[in-house]
Amino acid sequence: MMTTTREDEERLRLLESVILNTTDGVLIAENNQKLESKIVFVNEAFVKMSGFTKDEIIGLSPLNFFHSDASIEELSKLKDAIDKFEPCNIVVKTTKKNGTKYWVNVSVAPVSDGSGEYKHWVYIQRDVNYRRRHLQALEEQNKKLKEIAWIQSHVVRAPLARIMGLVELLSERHDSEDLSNNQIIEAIASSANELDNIIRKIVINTENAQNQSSL
Amino acid sequence: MKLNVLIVDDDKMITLLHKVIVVKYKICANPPLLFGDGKMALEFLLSEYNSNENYLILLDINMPVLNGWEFLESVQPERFANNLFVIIVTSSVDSSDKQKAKTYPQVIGFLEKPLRAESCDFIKTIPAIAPFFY
Repeated sequence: MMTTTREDEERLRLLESVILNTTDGVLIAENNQKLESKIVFVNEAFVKMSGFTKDEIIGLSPLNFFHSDASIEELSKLKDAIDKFEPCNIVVKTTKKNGTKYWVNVSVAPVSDGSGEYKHWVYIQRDVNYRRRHLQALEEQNKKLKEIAWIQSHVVRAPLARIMGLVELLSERHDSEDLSNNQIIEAIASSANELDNIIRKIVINTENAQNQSSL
Repeated sequence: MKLNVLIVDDDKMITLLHKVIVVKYKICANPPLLFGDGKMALEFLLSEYNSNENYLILLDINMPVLNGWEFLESVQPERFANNLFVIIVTSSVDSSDKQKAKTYPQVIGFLEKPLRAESCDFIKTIPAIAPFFY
């Protein structure tokens, strides 16, 4: 019996040190009799991430804590999961005590006590700010690429189409009252210039996009 | 039966070029009417439209004031029964534009700029307007 207890204690200490030393923020909330959830524990990583002190956090509702700037969809996903006592995983934006906003991935799970009753919730929060910013930069770049494709299709082809049509007309030496050969040659020259300007602009835009992504 | 041709494009040189081409290749007997944007073409139709006449509209997509899509929204088939035919003529080689064009019942064709002899040959084979070219 004595040995078992010591083993149990060691195991508990090990588990505790995992929670205390992990770089993920850990938060435990307890439901009171009215099923309101109050934070009863946070680890050091959570304190560091949020910028609040332990005392400021303990006793708050975790929902209240993630409320600021969370997207409504993600937040209702969390509320749904809590109502159904189901685990869930959300990505929300939240605010540090100093006002800095940051993205976190939060996985939330109910924990049952021995009798099968769910009294506690464990929130594990990971800082995904870097990943999120990276994703945003990629999305930004994709948007630029789409714009470039649009320009190629609509703007670049416009003067080119004009040149093609005019050259064909000229090659048939078709002098009509609407377009003299001189007018056609002038129009070809100005279309070619326009095309040149468009291509230069695309090159500059692409270079800007590259510079931005390398920042 | 005759076909009134309307060329709707904000690129003035293109409207002149297409005018020369459609006359040369006999898409229309009378000179086509030229419009610099969708609004001008729409205003013309609203005041001059005659249900005994037939209209072929060569329509650009990207135009100021009222673009090609907005123009199509404004000429719903209920009002302009069965005598208004639209061919999209665009510099775009974007397939999504082509797909979108298919959703409008008035659109009977989709051509890339510039219009040429072959484009005119193609126009004459479109079933909806082929009878006008016999």
